[in-house]
Amino acid sequence: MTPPDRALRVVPERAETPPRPAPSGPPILEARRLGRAFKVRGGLLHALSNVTLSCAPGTSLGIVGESGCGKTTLNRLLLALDRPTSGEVMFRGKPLSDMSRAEMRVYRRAVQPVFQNPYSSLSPRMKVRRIIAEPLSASREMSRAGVRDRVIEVLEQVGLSADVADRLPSEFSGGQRQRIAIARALASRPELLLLDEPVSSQDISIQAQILNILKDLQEDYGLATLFVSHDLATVRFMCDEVVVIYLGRVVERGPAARICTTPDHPYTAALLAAALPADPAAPATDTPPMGELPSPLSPPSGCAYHTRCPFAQEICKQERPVLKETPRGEVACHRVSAEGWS
Amino acid sequence: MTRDLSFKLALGLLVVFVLVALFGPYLLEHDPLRGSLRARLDPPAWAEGGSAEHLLGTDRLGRDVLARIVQGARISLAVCLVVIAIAGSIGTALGTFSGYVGGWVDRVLMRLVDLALSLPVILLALLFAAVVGPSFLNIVIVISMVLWSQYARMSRGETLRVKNEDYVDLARTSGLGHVAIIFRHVLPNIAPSLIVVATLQVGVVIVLEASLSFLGVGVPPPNPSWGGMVAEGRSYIVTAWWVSALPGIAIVLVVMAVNVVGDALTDRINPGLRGRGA
Amino acid sequence: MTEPLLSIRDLTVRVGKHPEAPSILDRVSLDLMPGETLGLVGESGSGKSTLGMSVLRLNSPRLAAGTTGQILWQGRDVQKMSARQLRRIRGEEISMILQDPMASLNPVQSIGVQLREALRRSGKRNLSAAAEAALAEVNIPSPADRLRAYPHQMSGGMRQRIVSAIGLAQDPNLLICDEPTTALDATIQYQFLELLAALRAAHDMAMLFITHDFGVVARICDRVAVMYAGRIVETGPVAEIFARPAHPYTRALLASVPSTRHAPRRLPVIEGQPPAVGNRPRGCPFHPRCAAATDQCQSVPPRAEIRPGHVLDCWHPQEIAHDPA
Repeated sequence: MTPPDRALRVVPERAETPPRPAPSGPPILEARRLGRAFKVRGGLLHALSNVTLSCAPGTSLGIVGESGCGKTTLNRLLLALDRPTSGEVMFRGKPLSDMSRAEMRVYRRAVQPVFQNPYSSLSPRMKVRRIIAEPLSASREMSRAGVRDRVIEVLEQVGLSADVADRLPSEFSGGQRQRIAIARALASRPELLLLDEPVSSQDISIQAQILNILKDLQEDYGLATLFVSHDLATVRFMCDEVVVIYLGRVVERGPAARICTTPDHPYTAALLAAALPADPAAPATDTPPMGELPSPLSPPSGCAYHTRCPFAQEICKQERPVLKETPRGEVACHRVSAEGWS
Repeated sequence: MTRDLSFKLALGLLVVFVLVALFGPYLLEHDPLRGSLRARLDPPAWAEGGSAEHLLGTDRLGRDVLARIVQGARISLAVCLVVIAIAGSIGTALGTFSGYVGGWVDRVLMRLVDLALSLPVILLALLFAAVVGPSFLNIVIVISMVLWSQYARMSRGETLRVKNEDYVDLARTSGLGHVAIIFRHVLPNIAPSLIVVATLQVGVVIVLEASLSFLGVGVPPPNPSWGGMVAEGRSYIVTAWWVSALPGIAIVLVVMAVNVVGDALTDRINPGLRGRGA
Repeated sequence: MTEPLLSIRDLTVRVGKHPEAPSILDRVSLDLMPGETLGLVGESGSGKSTLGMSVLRLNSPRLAAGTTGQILWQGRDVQKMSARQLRRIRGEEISMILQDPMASLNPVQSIGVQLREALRRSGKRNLSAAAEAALAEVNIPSPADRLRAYPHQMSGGMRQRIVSAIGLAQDPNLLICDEPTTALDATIQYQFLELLAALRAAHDMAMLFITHDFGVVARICDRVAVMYAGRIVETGPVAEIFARPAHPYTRALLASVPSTRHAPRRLPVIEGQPPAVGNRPRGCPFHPRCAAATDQCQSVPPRAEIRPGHVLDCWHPQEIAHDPA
């Protein structure tokens, strides 16, 4: 006689994600033909080229790519921690570069980041209360009592108790620290969270906890999220739409469910094959990942992926494919035309 | 176990040093500046011919050596505190600024640090003394001119480290200005390393002050400085060893204690920093 | 019946000699057959790396002093070996690949020097040709040129392949891999796992594969041992464990991994966090987080073989098949 299987706390009702309400209103944050080049010894390093995307209220966008693809650069540009060398970041339709101090304050409150490493993102000599209140105190619009209440409110939102507020970050585990970092991001009642690999430094059982918290924020509070990750599986769980980046350029865009089942771009297919399922009976892939990432200092001619692509043809080495719109999304590949695969 | 013991001994010695410097002069009956010609070069109490009147003997002017060592501790401590305050604030301010701003500002300031590190402190002090005469102010200025650079170096390196931590980026995304970030995030996180530098520098300052006073460009006589006392006694080293040796022992003990405590602090606060600093 | 290559019996590793000192590993037993790949899977702090290090007696002196139990390598007790015997086994019979390839490579020596050194120990002649062949075997393009390169001139994936070439230079019978792909990008990890599988077949060796990633286990392992808080809580053939996990921890952990194939509304989670060393609960270490826990779980759970080779330590084995979504 065994007790019921309570270890699996599957939420019984609505097993699949219900269709999200259609994006309401104009985008909160947009990237328009965004580019960033760094001067390095030996020339220019194009970390990011011609990236266009937008985050509308209530939507969740995933940015997927491997190390060196430019996703960290993109995140820093969207956070105004760095300036683009071409293109613009727009907040509510206005370029960040044209905004006044007062407008920047509004932007800073509306767009909040959570970084990957909670050991680096919490100042070791500040109590949790001060860490969480920082986005509030910077604008000096709230009373002291208001700040105190808000700190406790956001701590509870991420599943921590109020007494956490008077302790130092060093007293907490990685998972708890990441919850504190999320609480901090919530303090100023943002409209958009920029999440940069928020679970990839966590243990599996903790990853699921954090992902659920973030999903609650999306669904229960209608928070828009931009989720940067190397892992298609977490992006599938977290996002409606996915943008795949390779060597600083968008190669494919589409609904998360479609990208994770029938990818159009060979690179997306390789990423999907590399996302190993926890299932030994999974069928072998016909598009196994090949080759190494070329140096971003001297990217290959034509399509940057041609050196690793099983389908590469002569044209792929000579001409860079443009990002084309298809009924399934967008893709930059010579093999795919508007009608489908050629 | 032995490490821990030596740390405790050294810390105890430093506490005694500070207490003696602060309160010692009020507890002693002898005036460190007034001697008695009848009691010139009296040996310490335990030596032949010594008396309980002058526990550590007297110098060539019949002044009580114990009283002078105690008064000298006060001067050493004062020099240390003033130098560390001046050099520490100038060095930390410039180093933090340099590391935070980066670019050409950083390059220029770091060349300045190299320059300061290459200054010949003794020659500089002699020159200074020749122009304005030996004084307390003189040694404080000269020692500070050289020592600020160590704070600048340490605080620059530490600022570069802290600047790359995500919490600094987060503070920027919260709309905090650069000054607020430096005071709220950078300084509190580089403070431990600076405290280590300051601790280790106590030893350096005491030795420098003693050297300068020994050469006659430090604390002017008749004020008792440990270095000056060693210098005064050196003509009698054969006949009256205690006049030089006792303040010399005081210097060695305090400097050793400072270094032991400083090393232990370094290990505790920042294990990676061992061997750096002063 | 063949003898196990490696047999671990009641291995306990404590932090120091004191019998009450906190333990990192708690009465761990496992067998590894020749040619078999065993996955050791667990979260950080479960003791899986300490277990790997124990096999070669590479733990710190403090942990070594607190080690009890038996580690039999081809019938010989590793604990009782002399320093000389141990040196012979390291590299010659058992090799190791760690998460950070830079920790295993000398940054100031060229790849060729390091590879030839390993090959010389194996008694090979014509070292240059052998070194080139070894690099070619791990799919390094233009191996002759690469021999002159230094570790920092290579990508992480390439370094990890060089480390495997060095590790395989002496044709070991067992390769211990401690999270060798964790620092690699997914597409590079995929290729490295393919390479390991090919090398395992070519060299006819066994592997002990330490990882936190069930996807990697499913890909490369024959058997898997799930570790939690210093113990092996469940072990069995990979197909069996993934299809019918019976320990509540294994089940919950498998269920909490997101998948590219479907998007549930919420992930099933295990509440709380793994206990720290020295703060582990009595009885079944998982019981405070276990949804199936009863008062019984305060005492050490019984070990049962519920199907051939499928062994678990649990008071309440879960018998419902798991849906590997």
